[in-house]
Amino acid sequence: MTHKLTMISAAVALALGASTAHADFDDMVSVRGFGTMGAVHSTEDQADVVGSVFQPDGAGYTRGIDVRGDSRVAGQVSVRFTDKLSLTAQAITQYQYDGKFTPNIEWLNLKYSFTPALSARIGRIALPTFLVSDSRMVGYANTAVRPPEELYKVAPLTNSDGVDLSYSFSSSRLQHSVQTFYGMSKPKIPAGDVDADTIYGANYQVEAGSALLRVAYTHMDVDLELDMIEPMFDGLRQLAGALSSFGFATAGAEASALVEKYKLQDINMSFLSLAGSYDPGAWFVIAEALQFSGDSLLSDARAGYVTAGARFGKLTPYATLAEVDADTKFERGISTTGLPGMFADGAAAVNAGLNMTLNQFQGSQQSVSAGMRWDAMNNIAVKGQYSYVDLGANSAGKLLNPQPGFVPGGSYSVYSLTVDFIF
Amino acid sequence: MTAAVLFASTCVQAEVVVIVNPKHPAASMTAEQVANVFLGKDAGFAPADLPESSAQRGEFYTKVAGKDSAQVKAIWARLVFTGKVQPPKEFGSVAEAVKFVASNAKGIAYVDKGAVDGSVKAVLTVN
Repeated sequence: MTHKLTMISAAVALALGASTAHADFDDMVSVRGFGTMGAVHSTEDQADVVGSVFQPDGAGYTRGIDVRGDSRVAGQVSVRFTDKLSLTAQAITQYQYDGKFTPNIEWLNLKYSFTPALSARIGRIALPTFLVSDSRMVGYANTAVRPPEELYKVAPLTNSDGVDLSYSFSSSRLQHSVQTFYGMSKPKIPAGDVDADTIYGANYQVEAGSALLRVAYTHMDVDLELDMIEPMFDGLRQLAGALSSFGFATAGAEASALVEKYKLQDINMSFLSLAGSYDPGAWFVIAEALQFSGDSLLSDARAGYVTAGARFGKLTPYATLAEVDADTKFERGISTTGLPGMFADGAAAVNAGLNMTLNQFQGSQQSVSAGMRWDAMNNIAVKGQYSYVDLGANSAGKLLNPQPGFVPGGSYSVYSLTVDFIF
Repeated sequence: MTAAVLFASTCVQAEVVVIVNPKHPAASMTAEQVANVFLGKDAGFAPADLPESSAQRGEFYTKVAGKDSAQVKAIWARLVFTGKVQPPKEFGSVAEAVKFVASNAKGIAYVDKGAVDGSVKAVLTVN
């Protein structure tokens, strides 16, 4: 393994034209990695529990025990050219939209430090929406099996291509840091394509000893191309055309207005997150809250969680309470009064379809989880977690692939076992 | 080097001090300031670690940062994979750590009090 890593390091150095004495090389290049092997079982067999929204299927309906959702392996190379200039590259292999495990470049950026306190990065950078955005995939770095989906699946994008600027400073016993960023991201999801062509935001974090407080704002302008939803818009456009050409101008205009209102282009999304943690050593507590606003078919939502745990040597029992509460938009739709039978039926069907679609975009749920982290060996942690998920009224929560037999608004249990490692 | 390792292992109860380069302006540092450096919250220094098996390392992190070795590793796993901070460089012996601090203006390390010579400056006694 060491031999292989040395070879990778050598290849990197060669590619960069920076070949120096061995000692200098070791100082300059570091190669590390992390990974997780996981297994998940869900008692809801009419829909799938997935590791992220980028995955096409998971535990429950598709697989009784799913070993793909949480499993991943990643390598990271850091090259320090000078005290001021460095490069970070991270590649992750995990289960993705096309049902394959393919390596993806998660980060690839150059960092320039103007001073030890002020630095800028350019390239592919972690999107800092949440408290543990940087390490949301590093299982070993976190106590729980995975960050609560009630928050982290509301903003699933993990990186953006662009620039950022960070500044840190101290005042008496406080460490402050601020970051502002701008970029774009075009990930693929099983349901279609995401094009976040403008992403920007800022965050502020302050630490005093064991206490930490963070506030972050992220804004995105997103185009979605969802294969399942496009037919609904086609139907609306056809109905608008038909209504207008048969002289029902008002209803036709209403139908056209609905296309404009709910189209999946230029969707504004904003995420305001407030997080805090206190970790004196023997125990810890982490809490995070999110206010999400989104146009089009998306539902505004409020989400939050609290995780607390205690450390007994190599064992860390913990518990999490999490909730996401989304508004369900209701659309009056096209007024059917005065429309002849066929058009009235068509309009009513379109209205119903639209409201059903709006409901699919909510995803309210709450959950309670209890688990144990066991630092079994050097650089290896084993975790077991039980979660009880209670879906909101008429909601499928964060489940994917609901089957005809799926009943929204129910509850289910999820059992997870992971082995996290770093190297 | 063998002598230094022997020295370190026979002096398990030896007093541990934090050293910096003589060029560093601070005459002393608080435990909190030192903990910030070794937990990645202050990028103004180049910290040096002793091996995980060394008695000094356990004593240093427990007393200065209030964290055991597993917690420190989880914290660094979080920081290292951001690419934002460099983790402490690990040295095989106290002598090597002293040499590193003596030759690096931003160097900082925790070593046995007896290993401190004119090439470095002690800024905190760990107790």
